[in-house]
Amino acid sequence: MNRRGKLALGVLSAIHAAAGFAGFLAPYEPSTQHREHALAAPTRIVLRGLTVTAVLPAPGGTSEFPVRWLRRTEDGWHLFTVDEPGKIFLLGTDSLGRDQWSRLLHGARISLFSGVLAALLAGLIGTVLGLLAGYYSGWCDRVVTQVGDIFLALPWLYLLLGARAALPLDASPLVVLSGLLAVMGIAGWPRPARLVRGMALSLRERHYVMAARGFGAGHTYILTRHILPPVWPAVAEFVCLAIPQFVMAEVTLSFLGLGLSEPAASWGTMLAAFARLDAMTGAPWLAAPAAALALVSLCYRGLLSSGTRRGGGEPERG
Amino acid sequence: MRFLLTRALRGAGLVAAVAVLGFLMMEAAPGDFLTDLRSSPGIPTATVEQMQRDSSLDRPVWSRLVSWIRSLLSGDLGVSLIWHRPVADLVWPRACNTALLSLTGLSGAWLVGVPLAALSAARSGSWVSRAASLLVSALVALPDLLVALLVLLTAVSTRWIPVSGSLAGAGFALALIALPAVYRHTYSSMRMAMGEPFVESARAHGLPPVRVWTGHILPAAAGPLISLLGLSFSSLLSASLLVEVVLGWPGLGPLLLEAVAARDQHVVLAGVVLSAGLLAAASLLIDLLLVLCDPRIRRDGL
Amino acid sequence: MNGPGFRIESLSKVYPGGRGSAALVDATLELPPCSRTALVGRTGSGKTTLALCLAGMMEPSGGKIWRDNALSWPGRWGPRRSVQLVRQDSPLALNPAWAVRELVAEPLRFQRRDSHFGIEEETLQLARSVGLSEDCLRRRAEQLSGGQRQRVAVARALAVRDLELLILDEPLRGLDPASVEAMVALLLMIHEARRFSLLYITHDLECVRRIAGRVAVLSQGSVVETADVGEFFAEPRHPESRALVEAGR
Repeated sequence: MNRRGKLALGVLSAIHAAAGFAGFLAPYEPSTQHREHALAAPTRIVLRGLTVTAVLPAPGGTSEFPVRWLRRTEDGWHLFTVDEPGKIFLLGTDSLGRDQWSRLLHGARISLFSGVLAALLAGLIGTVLGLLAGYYSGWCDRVVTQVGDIFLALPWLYLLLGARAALPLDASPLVVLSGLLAVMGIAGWPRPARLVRGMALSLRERHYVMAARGFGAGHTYILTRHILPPVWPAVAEFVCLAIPQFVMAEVTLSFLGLGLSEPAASWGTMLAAFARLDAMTGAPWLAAPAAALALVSLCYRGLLSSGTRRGGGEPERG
Repeated sequence: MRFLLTRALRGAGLVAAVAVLGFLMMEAAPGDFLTDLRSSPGIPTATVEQMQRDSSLDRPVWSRLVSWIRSLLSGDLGVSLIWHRPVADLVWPRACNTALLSLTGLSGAWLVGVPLAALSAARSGSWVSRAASLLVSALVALPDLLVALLVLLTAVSTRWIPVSGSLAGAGFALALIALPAVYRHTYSSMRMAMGEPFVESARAHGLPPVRVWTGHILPAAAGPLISLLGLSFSSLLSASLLVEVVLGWPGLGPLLLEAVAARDQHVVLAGVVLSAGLLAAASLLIDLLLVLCDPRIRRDGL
Repeated sequence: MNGPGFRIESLSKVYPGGRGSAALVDATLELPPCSRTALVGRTGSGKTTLALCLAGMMEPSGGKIWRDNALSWPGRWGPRRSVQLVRQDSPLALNPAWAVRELVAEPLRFQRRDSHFGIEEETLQLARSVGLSEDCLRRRAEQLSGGQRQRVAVARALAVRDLELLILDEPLRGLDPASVEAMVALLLMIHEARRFSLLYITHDLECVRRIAGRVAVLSQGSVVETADVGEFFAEPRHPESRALVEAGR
């Protein structure tokens, strides 16, 4: 992997790590509303000597609050906070007074990780079906290939929406999340399935597989010891490179109001808040998730272009 | 001609398969648009039962599948469960709008992308070529949603483009999204055509460069270019859905969105089937263009 | 106790894909119990196809295969343990990711175990008998040379205790003369002990002289001559046999 790839991987790891430690790196809970500070611009940060200080507007000028590091509040440890009644909004607030920096981090958790989980699910379903089609062949193969081709022929967003329509709308967030993952997995299985099918078909004809059958090996033995070992790495690589598409699927669904609903802080819902007329002109800091998405997308593209040994066809656009 | 007929049949087959598969998937889904009503305490069970009978959701699956196929063949797409109007009336004008938008966006992308790519291919290494490829790389790295939002932002803040409901704004956004693919495909087709032996010989004969381009390179590049572009129509439709929602164009997108939110299965299914239909129609158009452009295909088939 | 005899009768094989040329046209060959037969012929005469069909790796297009006077094909004649095929070294013959130790032990895992030796012991013995060092056992198949892979393949075949037919398709190519000598001696010894039928496919007429009791000549998909080895070299009858013997001098 060349330098560009390593840089991209580094940035991606940092972003994912930040998302993982969202609770620690964010001074506030994502749903906490600071009503008096609705649509506040990002807080000015200055250096007074050696202390980092937040400068807030106050009646008759400004008031300053020093930043406290590594404090423990009732909801755990935080890297940095500011004593009440001071506030530190690194990326401003939205119309309900919610800190955008905290929502960005927690939203990263939702959007990035559901992208990863959905990609894994699609990879798993694709592997099982691809093995059925490639190893057992016959009518299994015909059915799986035909259905897969239909899925692949449709525009992905139409397919996603169609699958989403099958899901109930109001249920506990956990149910909705698993439902969303299932929907994305169902929309995304054909590509890995095609890959696995091709591999299984060719591996099945190898001399050593036939010899194993001659020795008396059953299907389970052959699948686990001869077919799956080379299949896993190929699927893993495929899944990793497909993650950005699944992240975009979650963000798009949430943007359209069909993903996790408020007050969940997906980057999609945050973008939907930005896409309103008053927000676009009046509160440009609400575009932070767009910048974050662009960065993530750029990094994945850099990764893709630097390290493909098996360069497949044109990947779908974000 | 027979070749076109086979392709048309293939497209029709796809639409039919999507219709059947979509219907079955809707059946397999837990609950339907009545579920939310059922669990709501204010609505008596009798009313829900009546609604079920009215939308004939109480008949067994296979009987509904058969009547669905029958009605599809006669052009009847059922009745919308929430708007109580024939789905075809709702969906058809929207589909036309989406087709209009797609064509506009694609034409915009072509009008800018093809000349730009041709120029870059002809003078590779020049500042034009480098600037163009930089722009394209930036565009392709951005997800479709972000490009649409960017255009919206520009429209709102500068008022150069009308903000909502105009073909110009939506078409511009779609053109930007489609531009990288058009540019890249054109560029590579041109480069490939430039390397063909008959081009070398045309040059060697002393033909002026313009003649070499219009007479030899462009026709040779046209064929592969058109078929490559046909493959990207599917992602174009997805992008147009997003653009329609973000920039307020009354196509299939916003309709589908509302239907999904309300779980109006008839409209959703019709929307998905129509998208497959649009795709099939576009593929057929592409094949027609190919046949017209490349006499070899007329002779030997693809 | 001798193993069973095998016979192929008018075997034919046409590869799908309309290439036009049939690999096997009308091959008839008798392999008596406990015999050592050599199959010679030009490149492209169909020797490998015959080997694959006989080993159950490929379905013939027509003809019959007999095992001890019982009709095996048409019927259920797939890959089986009692018929082992050792091919020219090909990367597809051994799982490249497996270690030699696992490769040689694989056939042992599917057979009834004598409590005398553990699988480890027997694997080591087999490896030693074909001339593979203990160090080799740890290496993966893709890290070995062609000659070493051939020896692993032979070891796997010899790991089968109830071997009835051993088919060797150019197994000793790429080995140095000393190794060839050792392998030939090993094959003769094991054949004597286990009493299976041996079909040896080769270009090397020296090996034919040393190993075979009978020789069959394959030309353009048909067996054109079969003779005892002495007779074959002294008085080859078919023009094809004559050409081969001449070339081998």
